[in-house]
Amino acid sequence: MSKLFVSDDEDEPMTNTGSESPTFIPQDHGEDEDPVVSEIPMIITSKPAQTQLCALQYPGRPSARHYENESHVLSTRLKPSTDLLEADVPIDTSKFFDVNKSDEWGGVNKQTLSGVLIGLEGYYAANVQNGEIVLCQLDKVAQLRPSLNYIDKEIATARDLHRLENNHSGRDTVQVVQMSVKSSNDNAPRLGEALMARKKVEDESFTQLPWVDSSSEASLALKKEIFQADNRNVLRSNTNEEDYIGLLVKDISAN
Amino acid sequence: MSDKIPTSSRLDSLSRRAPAGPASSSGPKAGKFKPKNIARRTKEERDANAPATAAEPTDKPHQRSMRGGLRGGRGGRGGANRALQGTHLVQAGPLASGNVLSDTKQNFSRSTTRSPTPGFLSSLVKREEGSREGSVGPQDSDDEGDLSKINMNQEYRFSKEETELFPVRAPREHVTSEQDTLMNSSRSTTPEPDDGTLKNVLATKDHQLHINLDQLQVDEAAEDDARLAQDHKDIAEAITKLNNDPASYLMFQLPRVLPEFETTNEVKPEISEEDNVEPVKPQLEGQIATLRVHRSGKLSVKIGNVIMDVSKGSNTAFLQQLVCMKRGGDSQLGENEIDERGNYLLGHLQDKIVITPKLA
Repeated sequence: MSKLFVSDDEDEPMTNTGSESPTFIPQDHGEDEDPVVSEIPMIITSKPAQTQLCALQYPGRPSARHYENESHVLSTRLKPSTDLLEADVPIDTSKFFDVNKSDEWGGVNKQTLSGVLIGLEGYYAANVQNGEIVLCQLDKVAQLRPSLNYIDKEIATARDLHRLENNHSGRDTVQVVQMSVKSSNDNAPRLGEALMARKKVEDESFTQLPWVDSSSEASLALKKEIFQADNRNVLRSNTNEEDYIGLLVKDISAN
Repeated sequence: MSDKIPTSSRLDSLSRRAPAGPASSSGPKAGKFKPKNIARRTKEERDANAPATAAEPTDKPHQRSMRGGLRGGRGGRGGANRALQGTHLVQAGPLASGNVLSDTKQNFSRSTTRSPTPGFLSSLVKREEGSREGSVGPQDSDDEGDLSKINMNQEYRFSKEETELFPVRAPREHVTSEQDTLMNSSRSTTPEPDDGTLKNVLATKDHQLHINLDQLQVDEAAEDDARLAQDHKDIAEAITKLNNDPASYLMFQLPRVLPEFETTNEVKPEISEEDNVEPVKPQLEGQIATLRVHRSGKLSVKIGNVIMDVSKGSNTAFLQQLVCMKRGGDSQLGENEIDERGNYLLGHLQDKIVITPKLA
């Protein structure tokens, strides 16, 4: 077992480089057999107003292939109240690219990914600085997947064409009488939750959100602003373990 | 009353029956119902009349499974599939890899992508052939020769740079069933007591089973410990590696409910003028926890006064960006304000660390 931890010694000096010398007082008497050797402070920082920290996941993209520098995300759009995020990303047309298909779909030269931002609780992005872990709470996460809307577009145009042709040939032959009963009550059939959400999304229009690459000044400044631990006061807590379990139970029963 | 009903108003069947009654009774074919008694044929006769069935090849496993799909259900003659005729099956999402009903040859051809650049692919292979040492690829598969298409269902062992455009696939672990072989071997080596009575045999078997079970539990516990120790080692390594790397971030998952902290006055509950936005929980700011390294190499986290367990989240093979979103309010921008709206890429999320309350 002990062979696994050859690297432990490397960890120890790391904490000493922190500006605030860590306290080495092992206060837990129950853990005497395995004492604490070193402590790494975990510091929470607050975000500037009007900003949200989001994790964007690209399930179809290997982690090593960043959308950065020359292959950065081209642009992003957001539907603010429904939180639908769309991102245009460049595609590599040198490999596995079918020019004929692209022409068929009206010259596809970028990939559109879309996903819905979902609220998070208890997730933090952490940066390690001088042996300190600086945490900042994540607000949202979205999984961006190809939305393939050029295919929808193709189908839609084909359908429109078809409809136009049909209308042209026999206009006055069929007459559809549609009857609908309107009730003033609220118990009229409504759209289901999923359809309702879909409708809401479709009714809303996008607002453009420019994409700022990681190398830009603005991004670097923001990074510094968020992950710089200005306040490193040790927060005091009176909650002991028993109280904490009480809190957990309260939380579970509240939900 | 009833006999006054005129015959015309009676049911058709009834009114027709009345005249037919006497006619049929006078006819020559009147009589009882005689069921035809069909004699059962002998087996030889049946065999002779049976339609000749082709001998089924049993050496192609995928073909067999395909036929099974066709014959699924109680139709026995591909009835299920016929029901799907004229139906357009749309497949999307995690279950799109096929189900029993639609797992036909059509599906197979769908999952292979015909690349417009076969030349590129064949050059891929050549390179692969050259640097092949130790790689156990799908070379033995049917599609080996035909590289104008790529079967997305299987993993290709091309060099890493070549496959970066290939889809991200979850790492597949080939579980070498050591446990099984161990169990098997122990079972086979158990000497059979020839001279014992049944009771004796059962007792020894039972005893052996208990020993095995205990051993299995001990093994599992040890395995868990080793895994956790490996997790802790990995976390420590990741923290060391990412120290002062501004572009890489760790993802921490803390319990949703944290111990209560004395909120210092510095965090002002900025209930400003008239904009009555939802009362934002005062953001914590400052050192809330310490990650503690024990002498054994184990890690633990102390949040406030509560000690918690640390473990590693599952690794993700896909890209995760950390983005700061400034979506801006609905209000119009002032004269001097610069439109700062946008998505600012800060870096990439790497490992995930999960902190869970210790409930012991």
